[in-house]
Amino acid sequence: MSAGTLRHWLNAEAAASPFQAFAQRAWLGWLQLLRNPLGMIGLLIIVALLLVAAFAPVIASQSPYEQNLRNVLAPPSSEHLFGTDELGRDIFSRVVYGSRITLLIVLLVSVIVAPIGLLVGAVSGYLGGWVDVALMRLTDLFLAFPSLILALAFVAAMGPGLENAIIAISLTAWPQIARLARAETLTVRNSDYIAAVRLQGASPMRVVLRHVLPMCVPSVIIRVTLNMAGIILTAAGLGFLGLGAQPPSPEWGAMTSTGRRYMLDSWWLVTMPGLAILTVSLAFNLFGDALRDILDPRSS
Amino acid sequence: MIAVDDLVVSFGDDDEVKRAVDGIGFEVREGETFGLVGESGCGKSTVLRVLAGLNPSYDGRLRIAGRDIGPRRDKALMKSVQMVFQDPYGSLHPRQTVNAQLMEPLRIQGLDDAAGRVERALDAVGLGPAFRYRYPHQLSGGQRQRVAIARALILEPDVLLLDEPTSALDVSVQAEVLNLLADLKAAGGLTYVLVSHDLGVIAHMCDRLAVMTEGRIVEELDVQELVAGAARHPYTVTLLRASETYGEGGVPAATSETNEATIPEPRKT
Amino acid sequence: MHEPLLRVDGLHVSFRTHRGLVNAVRGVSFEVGREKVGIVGESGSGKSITGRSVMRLLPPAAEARANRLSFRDIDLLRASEKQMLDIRGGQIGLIMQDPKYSLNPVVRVGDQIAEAYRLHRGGNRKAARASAMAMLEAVKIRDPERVYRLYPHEVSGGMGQRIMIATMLLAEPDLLIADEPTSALDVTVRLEVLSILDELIETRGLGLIFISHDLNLVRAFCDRVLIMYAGRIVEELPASELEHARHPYTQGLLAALPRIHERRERLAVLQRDPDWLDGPTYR
Repeated sequence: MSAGTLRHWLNAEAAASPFQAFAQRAWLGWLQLLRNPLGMIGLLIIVALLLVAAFAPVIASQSPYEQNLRNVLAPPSSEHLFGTDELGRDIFSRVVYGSRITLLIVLLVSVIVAPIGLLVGAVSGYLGGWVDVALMRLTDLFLAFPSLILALAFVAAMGPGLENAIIAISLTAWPQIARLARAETLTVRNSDYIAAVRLQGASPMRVVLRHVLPMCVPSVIIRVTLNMAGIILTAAGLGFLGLGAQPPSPEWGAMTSTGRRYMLDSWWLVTMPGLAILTVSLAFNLFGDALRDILDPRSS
Repeated sequence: MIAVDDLVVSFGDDDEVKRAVDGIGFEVREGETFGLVGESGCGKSTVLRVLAGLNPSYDGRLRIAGRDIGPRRDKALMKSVQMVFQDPYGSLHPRQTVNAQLMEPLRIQGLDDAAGRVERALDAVGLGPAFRYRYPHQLSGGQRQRVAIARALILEPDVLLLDEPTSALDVSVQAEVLNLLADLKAAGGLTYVLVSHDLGVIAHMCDRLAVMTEGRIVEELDVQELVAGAARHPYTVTLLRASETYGEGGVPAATSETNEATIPEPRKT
Repeated sequence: MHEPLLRVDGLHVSFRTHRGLVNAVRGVSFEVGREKVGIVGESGSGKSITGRSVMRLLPPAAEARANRLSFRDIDLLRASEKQMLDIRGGQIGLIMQDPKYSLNPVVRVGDQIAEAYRLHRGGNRKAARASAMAMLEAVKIRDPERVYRLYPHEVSGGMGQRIMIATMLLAEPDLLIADEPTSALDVTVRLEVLSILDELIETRGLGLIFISHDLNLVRAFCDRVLIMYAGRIVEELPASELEHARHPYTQGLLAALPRIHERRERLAVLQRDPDWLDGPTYR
């Protein structure tokens, strides 16, 4: 299909298939994103992060674990772009490989958090009654603790490590999503289109899964994207406290943690991974804001 | 077709119970169009929601197609009673295509030849196949209401409940939708219950009607009586006069009366 | 006829959208004196936008231009924002469809009326309160003392609309723009509100622009009717002669109305003619 016919297909007045209808919607969203420069910057950084993670072995100048005790704490130079750390490891390579860990955390947390939060919130909001009371008190319980403290407690109980850190972060992140999904559900559940499906004889589960959830998904996607920055920071915090990824893993938080002992003389140990954390969480925030403009039905 | 006896619907807490519907009864014959008229808050929409099964907390007896109906309904019964809502902008799922919204009832009820049924339903309400994969936001108010009617009729119900189906539409679109409803009924097998505040619409569509105010039916009459101006209950007469004043080019009666009254000028201090 | 209060000549309003420029109003001209002028049209005909252009209350994406848009001798298109603040609510009052959205939900209605009075007329609290009370009486609210202390959510639709009328009339404007003022009301309440509005307009000698989708309402209530279609006035005629409308669109609208005392098998369906878009205006 040539570019001209594709454009025509995307802008056609009447879609001829469900796929075309979907593609037209996506296309419109894309056009909207193009007009939002900050959102585009965010997206570009996220795409760059994905590429860096995918091609880490090609981009990194050496192995992130390779030590060189004769060249420790070397400042940034053409040979070591971001300098070297206390064991003579190339910081640039470590930051590049660290992106894989960050992405893994981001991915796993959203895969765990979004479905749990959505389901708990939608079921709670749609069914109401004692189900609602029980589920919402449970979320209150989780929300009552500062998320980092809660994560700390979990990791302390289960032992330090990347997997446990991910589980701990997920446990602290779902209640907000559940709250949001519940609020959305409450506005949707008395609408006529839900009444219409109930009239057709749909079971409550079908109503929730097929008709209520799709209405909550956009705001949840926005929320999760905006939360990403917080998740990355919590992961870095856990790493920094020695409770997340363990050395010698090139996790950004753990890197800043070990680097802080040399902070006064060798600023690059802390600054480089710190900048990486900053850039990526900023990117997720910018992209999340742009997504809100596109997906939020209230804005249009 | 439908028999309602001593129906009571209450809202509110124990200390402050409000009876939205206060012991009403009426019968709708098979194949007729029965109108429920009243002003906002009179309980007419609540009655319709009870008939639809959307409001399970009520007292009183309800019979549809010769069967006693409890608060819980089975799938077959749900299929036989469908509803068209007032607001065409709120009655279609904003994130589903027309096709998806028409397929859904067929899947729920497990009917065969879904694609063919969708095509025929769109055809019946005067929308071509071009509308099949559109989203609601790509449709005008009148087109949305046609989709809503198609969605209700695709299950081939016996009873169609119409809750102010045209009050959100322009006059010319209202005429099209009312004609469509009349045609669909003429095609056979349907009983309508039409709720409206508009006596013009009721007089045009209905065979018989009941006038409601404050949760009660104050008068039940044939449409011929309404047309001939033979309403007896004072409330019906008031309603009729109010509708006529701004209904058929009459001189506003109330204005000429009140012109005599003195109007207090604002005191200036 | 009196000297016209409002003169509109060749008003165009266009909106910038992502699909390009949309012309919502395309060359509308009319004058309003101390009389009741109805603007009738279906949704999207540009009737509300015409009303809002007069108040300069258009959304930022809209652009209005006209050969002339003047109130008395004030050029509304060139007036400063400060001047407009004085005109809006001061010399031109606006009554909207749903009073719920026009009243501040956390301030007692009486205080809102008094506030409006002080904004445009100055004076102390006591005087403002007395005028507010008198105005509530003027719109036939039986127990003004009680209503004065109510919050907007505690008043019914009809009462809310009377309060809106009271608020608007306190500043003693010369022109009122009412945009679907009774569409949200029940027929019996509508009758009361309209007769109050009618009375106040008659006794105070105001001009009124009555924007509505309801032909019958406008026919019964107004002196003169402008019919709008697709951003243009297609017909202008005295309300009493609406029955003899000549434009096929007006005729079609009238024929499409269901009537109480006249049963018809089918309602006439309006056949839209593309020629109406740029056809002549019947006057």
